[in-house]
Amino acid sequence: MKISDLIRLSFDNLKRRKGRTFLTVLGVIIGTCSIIMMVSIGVALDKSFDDMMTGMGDLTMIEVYNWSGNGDVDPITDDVIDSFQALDKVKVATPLYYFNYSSNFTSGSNNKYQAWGNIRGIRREAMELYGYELKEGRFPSSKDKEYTVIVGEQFAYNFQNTRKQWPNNMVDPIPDENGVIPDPFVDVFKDKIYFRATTWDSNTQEEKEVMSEEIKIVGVIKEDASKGYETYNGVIMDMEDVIALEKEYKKANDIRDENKNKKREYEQAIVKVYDIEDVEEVEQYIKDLGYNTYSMTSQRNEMKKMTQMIQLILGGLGSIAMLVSAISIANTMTMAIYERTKEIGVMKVLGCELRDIKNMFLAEAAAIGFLGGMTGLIICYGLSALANMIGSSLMGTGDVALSIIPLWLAVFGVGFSTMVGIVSGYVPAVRAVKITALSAIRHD
Amino acid sequence: MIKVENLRKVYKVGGEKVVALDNISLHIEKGEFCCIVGTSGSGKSTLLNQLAGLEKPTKGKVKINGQLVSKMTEKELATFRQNNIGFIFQSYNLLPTLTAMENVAFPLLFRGIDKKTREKKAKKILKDMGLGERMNHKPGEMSGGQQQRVGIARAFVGRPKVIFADEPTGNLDSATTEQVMKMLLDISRENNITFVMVTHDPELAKMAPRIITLKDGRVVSDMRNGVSLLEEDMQIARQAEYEEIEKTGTDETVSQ
Repeated sequence: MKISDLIRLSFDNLKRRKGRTFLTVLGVIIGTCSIIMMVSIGVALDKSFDDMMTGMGDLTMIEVYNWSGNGDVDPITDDVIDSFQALDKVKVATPLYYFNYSSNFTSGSNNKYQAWGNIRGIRREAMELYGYELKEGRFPSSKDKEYTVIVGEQFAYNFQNTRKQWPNNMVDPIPDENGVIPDPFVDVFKDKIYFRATTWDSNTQEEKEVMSEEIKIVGVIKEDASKGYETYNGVIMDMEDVIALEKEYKKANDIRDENKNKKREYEQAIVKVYDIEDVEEVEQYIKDLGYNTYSMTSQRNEMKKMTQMIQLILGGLGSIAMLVSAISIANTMTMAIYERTKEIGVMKVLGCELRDIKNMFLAEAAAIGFLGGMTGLIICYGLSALANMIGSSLMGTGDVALSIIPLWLAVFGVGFSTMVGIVSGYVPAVRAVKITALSAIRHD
Repeated sequence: MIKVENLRKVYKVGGEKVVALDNISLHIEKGEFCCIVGTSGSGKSTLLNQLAGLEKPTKGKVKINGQLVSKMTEKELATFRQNNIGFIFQSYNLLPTLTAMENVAFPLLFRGIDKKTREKKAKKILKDMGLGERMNHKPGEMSGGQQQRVGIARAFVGRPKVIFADEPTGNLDSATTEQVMKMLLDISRENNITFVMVTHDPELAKMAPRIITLKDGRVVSDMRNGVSLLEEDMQIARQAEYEEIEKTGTDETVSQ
């Protein structure tokens, strides 16, 4: 028998018993809807978690700490970081360091303008890869002279005019009544800026300058809370420069360097991999060395496990309705076979092959499943849109989806309902095959 | 065409055995039109069921066109029926949702013939049978005679080698009965199809060239054009012939 004939015959038979077919299909519609809606809520939940995570930080980044506090684990030294850098999947590895002493910046004649700001140390080649985004200017390069830096978005507004009284000694990046943001006292690109250290001279009873180094600012970066406060108003400097600056500072202030002959140890390092998929492997490698790590991806994986669990539970709840509809399909098909015993006998006498009889009933059951699945899917799209509309109006925010039906779910929903149809139609179909040709001529 | 050897069918009813067919041997030639007659309970329908392979015999063989039907599996039977057998039912057994034309085309569908060819064949045969006007009517919209003609068309459409008919006129009035019977005789002769039908009506059976009479599961008479084919009758006939030759002294008849 041709497949086209098989399908036509099955639909003819379904049309014959419109009322019952409708009720059975209705069952499948409810089953499909409950599964798709439940899973779509799970998907939406998963997506909102995902969005939240992505907003919180870079997914390819691993933070490395050494909290072990004992000698079993090597401290994070440049050698250790270099060994991370040497790994295939690692894009860049760098220590993250804060300049240890107070940092005072000055500008203008007689150090008229003064500012305080943290100095962040990071390897020069890692600055861009770490995710600092330029707002203006450029990143420092290896050709630049010492103390070439980039600064946080609002660093210029740190400068205060020491000659003026409050509140005229400060400029804030806040628009005035005309909507104009006032300029800071200092133009970070044009004006000369110095790192300056002073001590209190008890003899002269005056501040005495002990150190002054010119800082060359070549770039201003965008503020990014996930990176740190330095992106707002700090100074970001190559690691080597920070070390040199620290050395000089200590010398100028007569601070004894206890770690002079030891390798520098860092509290924190950052390892960035090429691909999100590599995070787990690299993170595990670092963990195995004894370090403590933190990454958005591992957090995300934990979350994922949880949302998958929720999805599974929701899908399971939805399946109960589908199970009921499967039973109803089996019932409908069994009834159909009892009613059509004679007809099946006639078909056998006329030479219908056994597999065609089986396929005919399977096709009928599949058609019930498919019709229910398709209708259910269309209804689900409507319900989903409605839920999202109500949801966003309740929460007030525009883009929070309560229910998302991705393509895979749509295909899965219809495919699954068709499958359920076939599976529940199987036993009745086998039963139909067993009806004897003799039933055709029994008069009853 | 059809060969039956020592066929026996025993039914178990409750704890008792009922012998429905007892040691039946038959031979039906290709293109022969054959009526099986007998009263209710004579085993005539049982015999038809065995011949058409609808039931398995307890003992004995049924061969159609050299193929052992009585030993075929369900699957083999389906293919065999599809290609060799037509069947006409007493209660027509048309599919109520299909039109006359679709009903006739139905067996061709099982062979995987495409819709266009099927319907062309069905239309032609229905026209030949004078049902050109009823082509698109459903069985419910036709008289008994018309329905049975559709049933007959369905049996013939695939040009089978053998057609079995189970009381094909059983539900028809006497005028229609004769009409239908003549039609069956004509079409099977024209197409050289072996035709085996069961009837309880001896008068109707007389229209057929071959009449097999059953009683209590045994063949009590088997006549072809008025000549008995039963072994004991044939022996008597041969004896008579022999005596005739003795008398006349010629061997003309023997040499034939």
